Amino acid sequence: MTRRLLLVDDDDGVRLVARASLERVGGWTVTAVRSGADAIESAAASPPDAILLDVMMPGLDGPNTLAELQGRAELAHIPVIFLTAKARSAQHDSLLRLGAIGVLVKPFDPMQLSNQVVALLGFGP
Amino acid sequence: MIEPTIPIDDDDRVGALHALQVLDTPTEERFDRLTRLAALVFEVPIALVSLVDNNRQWFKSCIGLDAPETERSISFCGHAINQPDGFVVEDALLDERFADNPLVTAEPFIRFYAGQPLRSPDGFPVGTFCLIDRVPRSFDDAQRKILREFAAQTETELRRHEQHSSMRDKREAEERLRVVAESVAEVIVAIDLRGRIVFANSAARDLLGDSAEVPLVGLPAARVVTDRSPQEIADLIQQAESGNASERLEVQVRSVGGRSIPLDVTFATAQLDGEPVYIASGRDLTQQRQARREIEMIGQQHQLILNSSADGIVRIDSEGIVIYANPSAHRLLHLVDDALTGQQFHTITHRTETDGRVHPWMGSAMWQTLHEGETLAALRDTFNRADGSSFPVSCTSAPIIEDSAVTGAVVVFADVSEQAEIERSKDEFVSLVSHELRTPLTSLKGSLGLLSGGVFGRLPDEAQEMLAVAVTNTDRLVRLVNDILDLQRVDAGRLQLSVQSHPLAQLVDDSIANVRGLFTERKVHLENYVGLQEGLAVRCDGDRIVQVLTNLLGNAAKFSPAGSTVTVTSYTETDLHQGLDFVVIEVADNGRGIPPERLERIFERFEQVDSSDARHGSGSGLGLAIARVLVEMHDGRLTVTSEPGVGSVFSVSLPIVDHVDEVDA
Repeated sequence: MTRRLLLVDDDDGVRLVARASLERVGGWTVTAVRSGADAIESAAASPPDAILLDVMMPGLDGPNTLAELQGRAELAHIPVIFLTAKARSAQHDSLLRLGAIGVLVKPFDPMQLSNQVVALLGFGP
Repeated sequence: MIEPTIPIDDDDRVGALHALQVLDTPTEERFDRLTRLAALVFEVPIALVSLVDNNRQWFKSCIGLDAPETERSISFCGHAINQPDGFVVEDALLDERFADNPLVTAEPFIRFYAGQPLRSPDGFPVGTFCLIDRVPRSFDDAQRKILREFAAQTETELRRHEQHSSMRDKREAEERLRVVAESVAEVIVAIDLRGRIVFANSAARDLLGDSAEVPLVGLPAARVVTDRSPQEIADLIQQAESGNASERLEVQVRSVGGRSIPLDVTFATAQLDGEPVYIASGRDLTQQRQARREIEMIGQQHQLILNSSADGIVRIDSEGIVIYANPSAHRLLHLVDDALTGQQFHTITHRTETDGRVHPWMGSAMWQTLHEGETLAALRDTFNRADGSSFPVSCTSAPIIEDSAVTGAVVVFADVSEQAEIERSKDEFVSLVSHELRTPLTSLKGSLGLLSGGVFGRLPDEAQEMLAVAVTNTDRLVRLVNDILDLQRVDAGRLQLSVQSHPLAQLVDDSIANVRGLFTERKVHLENYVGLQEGLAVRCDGDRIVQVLTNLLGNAAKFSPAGSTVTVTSYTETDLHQGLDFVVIEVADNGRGIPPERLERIFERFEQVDSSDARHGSGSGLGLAIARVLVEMHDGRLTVTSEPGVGSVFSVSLPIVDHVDEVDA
């Protein structure tokens, strides 16, 4: 039984390649959703082991999704890694202060993405 | 108060005074004329011939004072008779001998005193010829000289009293008076009751003209006065005759060159050769007028500038209180004119925020200017208006330094709402572009990377090669996007450093880790000697310095032949100009080198050493331009030396601010 990641990104292409990379290269089980609202619903229905969360999304964006997760006792413990297209470390610092355990930058190297996730989580699939 | 010293031979001195037989005699015109003329010449309200008796000083002549005598113990003249060369007190209040003297603290409120001793024929100082004013004055050598002449003339008169009159003394007296009148800069003329000039001193002759054809003496005064009719002049003389002379008038006179000159004139009546005359003593006001006009003009110009400036201009005192604020300052703050004057400028412009945050005066930019004397330019701040709304300002505060002390500051501020709005939308645009470019690149790089990584199975060699080209160029596109965004931030002045202390060796190790793969791929060796400088730490934005070093190492790898070696070394040096220690990190390669004429151009944007660089296939042409900007933002320098065919050395020098044991936790 492999551990399961919840991947949240509104871009179909990004969801496809990130999922393929995490599943095929990393060996994770991945649930991919396209919005913050879907992420809350999916996590509530079946809590994942970790969440990879896009920052800029229409509707509920990454930071607000994280706040919503933190506001629910049963979901607050799930580690969240932001996936951001913003490249500056100053922005990363502010994302970390929201309570994420790490920030990964887009575009990522698909052969290395899982390794980076494992390094941040401290556990693998 | 210090009482006058009584000379040892005071009995003999008093004897000599009494021998003159002048004490307690009626006033005489020959003495009064001298004191009156002295009062005119020196422009003092009081002039005296004072004789110092046993216990009193008695005035033989007294202009401007009612008392016939005062006690010797409080007299100024009691001091003056002990000073052969004359005695001057320029400001009695500042002189401990007189500051609490009743003649100083009460009527006649003496502030200035100048006295020249009067000697009896046998040489005893029997009294003084003295001048008194109620305001402090200075008294120069020329004036002392004139005062001595008055004293000498008074001595002659005293002697004449003793010896009875003689024609010789009279001639001497007239000669002395003439010397006095001729030597002063003031214009002095005497006018008889018919309105004719009967005497004119040298200054008057120079100003009004005097020639053999048209001698000044003898002319009707109306001929030289241009702004009074002959009737008005006759009236003035009439008034003077009846003792109602105006004390001071301004009249225009025709100068020798035909110009009309303003004169400030004081009048007195006197006797000349037994005839009553009207003495006018005047001062040329031309220069004073000119100076006043210039000051007025400068003042008007300053006012025009201050009134027309679109920026708010405020002068505050050393406590931050507004002394002056121009109309724009009031307009920008939505205040009516003059509402700022007397207010604490910082408090008016910085209200407590609705969430309770305060902007303390201490430590604020204006406070720093007043306390450190610093000019703080182009500061971004937010000012409150009278209605509580706020607006962004660009603000400069500069100290006003007088006598090497900061006595206030000038604060200039401009409303920068529009610029702030433009910057905000620019930032939003850049952020959006950044996101919109990276998102498709993420898909591209991801899918190509997975294909090329063999995740979906092995592809034919040709397809694999095509994929490698696609992957390399996707990476290049990513770098280009990053570099362009960096440069945009630099150009907008919005690239911000996140400065912390970093161990030097760590920065180099992190940079090497980024390019390890490239070195392996290109079969170039890398030797790092920076570990030897372990003790050093640099205060910098670690990410940015790693970005710089990564760029330099990447270039070295790309342009070095396989099998060659790139070395990274560091050393410290002191810049004697700046008194700073620098650490220099050098990246040296054995590449083909850079021709001298292109050395500086490689730091320009989109510049590569030659078009063949394209085949190296990975540069954006922006890396070195950005690297140099980043290093300079750290107050460091990025330079290169190169020898074609031998290799290049890129040097990054950064100021060392501390050592590794002080590294931020």
